[in-house]
Amino acid sequence: MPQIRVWLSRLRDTFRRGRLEQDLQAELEAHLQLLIEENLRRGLTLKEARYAALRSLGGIEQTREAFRDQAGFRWLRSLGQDLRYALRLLRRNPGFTVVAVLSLALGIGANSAVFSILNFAILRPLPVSHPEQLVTVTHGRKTGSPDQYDANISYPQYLAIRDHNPVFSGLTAFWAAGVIYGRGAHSQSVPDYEVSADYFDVLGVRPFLGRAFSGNEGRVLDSDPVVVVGYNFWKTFLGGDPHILGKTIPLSGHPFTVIGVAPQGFIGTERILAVDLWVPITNHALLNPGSRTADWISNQHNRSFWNVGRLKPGISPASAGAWVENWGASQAAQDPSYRELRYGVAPPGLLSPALRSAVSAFTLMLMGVVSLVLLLACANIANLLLARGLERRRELAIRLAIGGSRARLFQQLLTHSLLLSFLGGAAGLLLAFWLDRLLLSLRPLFDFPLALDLSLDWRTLGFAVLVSLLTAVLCGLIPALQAAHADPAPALKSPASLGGPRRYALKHSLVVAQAALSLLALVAAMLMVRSLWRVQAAGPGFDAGHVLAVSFDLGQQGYSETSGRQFQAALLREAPQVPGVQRASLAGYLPLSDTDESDTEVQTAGRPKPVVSIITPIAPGYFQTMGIRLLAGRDFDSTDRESSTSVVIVNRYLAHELWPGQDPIGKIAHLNGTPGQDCRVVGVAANGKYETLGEDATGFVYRPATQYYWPHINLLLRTAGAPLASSDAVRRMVSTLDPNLAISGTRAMDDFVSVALLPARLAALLLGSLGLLALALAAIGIYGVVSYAVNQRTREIGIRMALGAETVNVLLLVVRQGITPALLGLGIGFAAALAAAGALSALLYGIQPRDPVTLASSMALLLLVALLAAYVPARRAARVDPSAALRWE
Amino acid sequence: MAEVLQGTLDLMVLKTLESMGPLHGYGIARRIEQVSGDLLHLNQGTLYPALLRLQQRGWITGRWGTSENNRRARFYGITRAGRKQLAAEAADWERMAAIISRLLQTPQGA
Repeated sequence: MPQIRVWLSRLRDTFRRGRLEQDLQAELEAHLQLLIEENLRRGLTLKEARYAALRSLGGIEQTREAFRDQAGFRWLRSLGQDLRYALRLLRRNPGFTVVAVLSLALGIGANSAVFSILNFAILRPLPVSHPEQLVTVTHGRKTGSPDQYDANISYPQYLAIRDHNPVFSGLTAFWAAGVIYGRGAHSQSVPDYEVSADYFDVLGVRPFLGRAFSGNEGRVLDSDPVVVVGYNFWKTFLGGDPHILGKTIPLSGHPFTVIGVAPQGFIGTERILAVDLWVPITNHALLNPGSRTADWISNQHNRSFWNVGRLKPGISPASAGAWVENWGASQAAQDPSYRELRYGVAPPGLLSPALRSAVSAFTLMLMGVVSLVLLLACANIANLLLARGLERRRELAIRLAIGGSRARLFQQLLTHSLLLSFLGGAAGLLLAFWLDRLLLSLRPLFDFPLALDLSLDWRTLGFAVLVSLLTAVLCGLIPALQAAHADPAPALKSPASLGGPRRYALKHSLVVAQAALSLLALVAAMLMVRSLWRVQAAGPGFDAGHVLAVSFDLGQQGYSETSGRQFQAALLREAPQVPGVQRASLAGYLPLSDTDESDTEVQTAGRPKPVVSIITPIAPGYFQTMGIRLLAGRDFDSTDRESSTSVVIVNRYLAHELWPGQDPIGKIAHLNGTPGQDCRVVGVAANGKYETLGEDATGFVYRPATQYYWPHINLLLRTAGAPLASSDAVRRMVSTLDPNLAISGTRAMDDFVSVALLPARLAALLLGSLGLLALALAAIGIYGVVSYAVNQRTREIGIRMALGAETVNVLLLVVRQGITPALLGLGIGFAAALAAAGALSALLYGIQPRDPVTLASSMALLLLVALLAAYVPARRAARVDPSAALRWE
Repeated sequence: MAEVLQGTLDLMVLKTLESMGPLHGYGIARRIEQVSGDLLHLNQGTLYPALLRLQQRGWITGRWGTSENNRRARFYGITRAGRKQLAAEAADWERMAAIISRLLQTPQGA
C-alpha cells in the first residue's frame, strides 16, 4: 500500500518538477549562505569561507541530478523529451514520414479489418447469458469431416433429444423465415424465427418489456397467435410504443398479440441473420398458408430446424458430443436414414460448422497474407531507419563520446519507431473503418437481411494497438540496437567511409526476408487467382445464360397432388407459346440456387453401399433447356406417366459409382424413401455443380415430375433475349392459367452463378491486390538497399572507372550486390511455400497448393521485379563521373 | 573521518528531526555532524534528494519559514508515519548491530 502512495507522489512530482527544482535552488542557496556565515565566524576570509562551504556541500550539479532522479520517473520525463525529439525528426523528413506511415497504415489497417471480421463472426460472445454453455446439435455424413457438418435437425429429432437426454438443461429449435408485416401497399417482408416454446428460457434472454412464451404458446398446435418483437422493430415500426403489450400487429394477414419486446441488440443466436420477430412454432400454419402445423413439425424428413442447447453444469461440450453421437447411432436401428450420418455438437452462432469453418479458414488465410504484407512494410521501415541511423552515426557517436548513455540513446531511437507505428496504427484504424464500410456495402446480395456488425469494439482496438506495438519493436529494435551499440571511435575518425561489407550484412538480411515473405504472399495470391480461373473455366455444368426460372409453391396455394400435376402439365403446354421463349421445362431443385435440396440414398443389386445423391423431379426437355449434355440413353418424354414403369436419369458420377465399367442403361436403381423406389435407368447426364462451384463431384438423380411430385416447382424457360425481359409475358401467361396463383420469384439462372462465384471473386480480388502490394513493398526494399549502397560506394565506383572498368562491369557489380540476397530470399521463400502449402488446400479448387507453374511464375515475377529494382540505381552508378567521384568529400 | 553508511542517512535524518523538532537542511547536517563528534563526513548536498524521498514516502513534511539569520528556508518536521518508521528502523538497526558485533566477537576457531 505505501508503495502506491510513493508512486503517486513521484508521479505528481514528475509533473511539478519545475517548481521542485526552483525550491531546491532556493534551499541550496540558503544552505550555502549559512555555511559561509559559519565559516566567516570561524575567522576565514570571505573567499576561503565560500570555497569551504562549496566543498562541504559537495558537487551542486550532482546534487541536482540526484534530486531530479528522486523527483519523479526519469523514464517518463525522458519519454516526453524523446517524443518531442522524434516529432521533430518526423517533421524534418516529411517524405520518409509519409512513406513509412502509409505503408504501416496499409499493413495495420488490413490486419485490423480482417480481425474485425473474425471478431464479429467467431470471437465476440453471443448476447445471451453464459454463452460458453451453449452448443448446437450437428450432423453430417460419416465419411465427412465434422467441420463440414450441418446444424439442422427435424422437429421430431429435436423433441426426442430434448425430452430424453442427460446433458442439456434445455434445448430449443427454431426456423428462420420471413413474414409480411402490415397490409396492402405498406406491407413489408420482415425476417422472423419460428421457435420452440422454451427459446428465451434456454438462451437466458429476458425480454426488455413483457414476457417470453408461456402456457399453450409453442406447446399446443395452432394456439392463440402471439409474438415477441425485436427492440429495433419496436422502435422503427411500432414507434417505441410503451403500451404495446397486449396490442395486435398484422403478420401475413393475421392479428398477432405482442407479448414482449426483446432486449436491445438481441437478434437471435445466428450472428449474421438480423431477426426482428419471434413467433411460436405452433403458429406456423398462420404464417405459411397452405401448410399444416402438424405436418410441418411431425415430418421426420423436414430437417429445417436449427437448434441451440444449454449444457448442464459440469457437462463439457465433448461429453455432450459423445452422448449425441451415441444417440444418433442408436436411431440407426429404427431408421436407416441415420446409418450414413454421424451426430455431434459444435459451438453455435454461425448457422453451421460448415459455414463457421469456411469463414474461419478464409479469414485466417487472409490474416496470414495481410500479416506478410505488414512484415514487408516493417522490413522496409527497418531498412529506412537503418539508413537513417548510419547517416546519423557521427551525431550519435559524438553523444556517446561525451558521456550519453547507450540505454538512453536506445530508448530515444525506439521512441522514434514507436511514434511512427502509432501514427501508422491510427491511420490504419481509419483505413480499417473504411474497409469495413466497403464490405458492408456489398451486403444487399442476399434475400435475407444480414446483420454484419463490424463496428470497431475494444477487441479490434486492442488488436490494432498490439499490432502497432509489435510493429514498432519489429521495425525499430534492430536499427536502434545497431545505432546504440556502435563503436563511436571509427565513426568519429573516418566520416567518409561509412561502407564496408559488414555494414551491409544487416540490410541484406532484410532483403532476404523481404524476398522470402513477398514470395509467400505472391504464391498464395496467385494460387487463389488461378483457382478462381479454374472454377470459372470448369463452369457450373449447365448453360446459365438465357435461362429464366419462375418459382411457385403449389402446396401453399391450395393445390392437391392431382390438381398440381394438371397445372404443371398446363404450364408445359402454354409456356413455349410465350413470345421469346424457345424451350420450357420444370425442375424441383435448381443447381447453385437457394432452393431446398432433397437427398436420397441410391443402391443397386450387388452394391451394398448406397450413394447419397441429390434428387429432383424434372419435366421432359430439362436437359435441353438447361444446356446439360445427355451422355447416353434418352430424355424423359410423354410415355413416362404416373402409371408407367418408374424411370430415372442419373449423372455420370453416380453411374460410375454404381456400375463401374458397365452400361448403366436398363439397370435398376433403388431409391430409398421415395415413391416408386425401384427405377429403371433410362439416361445418363453430364456431371455438374449443384451446391457450390468448388464442390467435389456428387451423385444426382432426376425423376420425371409425373412420377415424383413436388408441390414446390420451378418453371424453366430458355429465352431468345435477356431472360428477365420475358418475365412479364410469363407472368401474364401464368395468370391466364390461374389468376390467383402467386409467383414466389422470377430469376435469371445467371444470377445464381454470379452469387456462387462471388466469394471466390472477392477472395481473388483481395488476395490479388495484397500480392501486388507485397511485390511493390519488396521492390521498394531492394531499390532502397541498392541505391543506398550505390551512394556509399560512389567513390569506389569512381576509382574503378578511372582504372578502366566498363559501364557493364559497374552495372553487373551493383546489380549482383542487390540480387544475391534476393535470390537467397527466393530460395527460403520457396522452401517456406512448399512447407506452408497444405494450409491453403481447403480453399483451392482444381489446383494443387504446390502447383509448379504457380511457384515458378511467382519466382520469375519476383526475380524480374528484383532485377528492375536493382537495375535503376545500378544505371545511376554506371553514369558516375570518375573525376567528380574522386573529388567527392 | 567515516563516510555515511549506505542506507543510514534516512535513519539519521528521521532521528534528528524526532529529537530536535523542525529543522532546515543546514540544521540537520550540522546536527548530524555534531552528534558524531565531527567524526562523520557528510556530503551535505546528498541530504536534499534524501529529504525529497522521505517526503514522498510521507515520513516528513516540508514547510517554508524563516531561518535564524532571517532568510527564507525550508523546515522539515517528522510525521506520525515517520515516527513509526523510525521506531521500526531503529529496532532493526539495533538488532543488526548486535548480530554484527556478536559475530565479530566470536573468537577464532570456535
